[in-house]
Amino acid sequence: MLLGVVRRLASVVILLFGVLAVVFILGQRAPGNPGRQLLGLNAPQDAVDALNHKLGVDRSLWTQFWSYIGNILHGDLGRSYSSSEPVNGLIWDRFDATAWLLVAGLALSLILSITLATLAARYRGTWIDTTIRLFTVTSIAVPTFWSGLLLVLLVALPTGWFPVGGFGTTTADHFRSIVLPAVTLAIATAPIQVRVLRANLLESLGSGYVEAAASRGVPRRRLLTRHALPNAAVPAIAVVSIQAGYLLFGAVIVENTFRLPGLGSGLVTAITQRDYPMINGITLLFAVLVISFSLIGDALSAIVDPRVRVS
Amino acid sequence: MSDMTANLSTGEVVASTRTPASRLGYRIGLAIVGVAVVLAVVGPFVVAHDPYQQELMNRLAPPSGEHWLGTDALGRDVFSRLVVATRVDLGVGILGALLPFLLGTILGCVAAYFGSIWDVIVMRLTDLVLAFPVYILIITLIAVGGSGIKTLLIAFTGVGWVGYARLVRSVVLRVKNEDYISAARLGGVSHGRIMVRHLLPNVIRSSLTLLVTDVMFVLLGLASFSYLGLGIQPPTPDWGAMIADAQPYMQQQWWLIAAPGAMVALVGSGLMLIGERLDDRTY
Repeated sequence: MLLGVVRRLASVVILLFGVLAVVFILGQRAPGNPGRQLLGLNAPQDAVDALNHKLGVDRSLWTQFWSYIGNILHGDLGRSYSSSEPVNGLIWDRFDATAWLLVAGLALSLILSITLATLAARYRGTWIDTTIRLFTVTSIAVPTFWSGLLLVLLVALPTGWFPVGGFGTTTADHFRSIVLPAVTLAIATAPIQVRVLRANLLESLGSGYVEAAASRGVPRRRLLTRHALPNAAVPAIAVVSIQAGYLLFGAVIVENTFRLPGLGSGLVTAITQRDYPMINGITLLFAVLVISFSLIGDALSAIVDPRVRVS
Repeated sequence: MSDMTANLSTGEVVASTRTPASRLGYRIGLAIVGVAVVLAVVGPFVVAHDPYQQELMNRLAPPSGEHWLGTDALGRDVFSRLVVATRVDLGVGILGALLPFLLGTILGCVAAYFGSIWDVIVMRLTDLVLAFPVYILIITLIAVGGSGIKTLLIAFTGVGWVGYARLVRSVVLRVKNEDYISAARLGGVSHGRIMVRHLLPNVIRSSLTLLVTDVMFVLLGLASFSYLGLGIQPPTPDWGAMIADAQPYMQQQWWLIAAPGAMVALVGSGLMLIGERLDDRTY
């Protein structure tokens, strides 16, 4: 088991290195030079050259790559081209809104998908199952930003309970501001979870140990919640951790729709402003988040299911 | 032979899931996608207004007999833009799914058929792409390549071929040692012809299922990136950008965001319903 853990961590390190290399190479392919970006179009050429020298971007690519890796290992992501502030601080300012959104969205999505999948499996083949199935098939095709805007039109504006956008300043504000974005994110991610969880529930319900429990007279509800659900959990955890990238992309869209000052809206702004240090920083953080998701997923599966630990 | 019975038995399971509801869903899906394709092909020739023509005196007009869905913030006819966008979005959606389909099928087939080093290279490449956070990769590519259709197509192809390659490889690995392949080989049939005529027909059905749902995912991705301002650039009409443009006025002109979003959702659901029916798996 220890060998497995070591192997997994080694592959994570290699993957992170790969992400860094790709981000670096893509940054090199970008048009324009940093000194010009920072000083503006009217700055004299020798000032631009001096700044480029100070930033070290006139050195060979190879040296630049290693100093880039070194800086990141020291936790230094450079300075933003558009505001000249350190990227670390800018990212930290935007971290809160994204963290709120991801946690609330994921929690809601799990509640929604476990409920729907259990209902569909319990009433397999009835109109309940058909309706849930139809919902999962068609709602995958609904654009995330559109369902968000519909929630604003149909819920936020008529009732006035929730703000149309923004994140507010107090914790109470944050709670009110995050409800609709989290619901939107949950609607975007739940359908795939429902499909996988339902299929796994049906598979466990059809297996020998559930039949044996049924023949001992265990009530149907208990069969579902105590016998089938835990066994369906492992593949469901795998799906959620695979979905992590999709979840983050959903967060990027939702933050833009609801004007949340998070990392996703920061990324889109940085791309339109061609602010490469900021793009690199956020991309890197997203990659780390996705990879941690899959690590946490693996660890959870090992905790829930002893068989995973052996392999 | 064991494969045959397995296929037969899954065939029976498939038959049992073909309820009237799923058949109805399939027909609805076909109808929606059919209408969308017709709109994409003939729409731009029959719309009453030029989708690029601005009437600045007639901005944000409500729906009327003249402008069925009113006009947008630049006074352009929204209905015409909606119809012309069908060609743009569906076209890019289909192309963005076909390119990875072709690349993945070729790579998967070659990897499995020739084996050894080919297989290792292709499989390691798929591992690499799968390990990468896909959408983040696409966003990075857009950040560098600039927004636009070309970058999006490159990004979708670079990421999407993996599914087809794995699928085709698994099927080809299963059937490449069958007697009829050896017989064809002994009969002097070339490797290329064996792959195209004898191996690929085995996998076409599952590949098509993936292709149909992929068109939906590309369509959705395209709309999302365009909404963020990173996809199709103005003034080309596109559903995602139309919604982004209309967002500031949504409180009064709600139809400006309702109509394009409904088009994405409808066409996407239609594709999903078709894909669901093609899908052999029972869940």
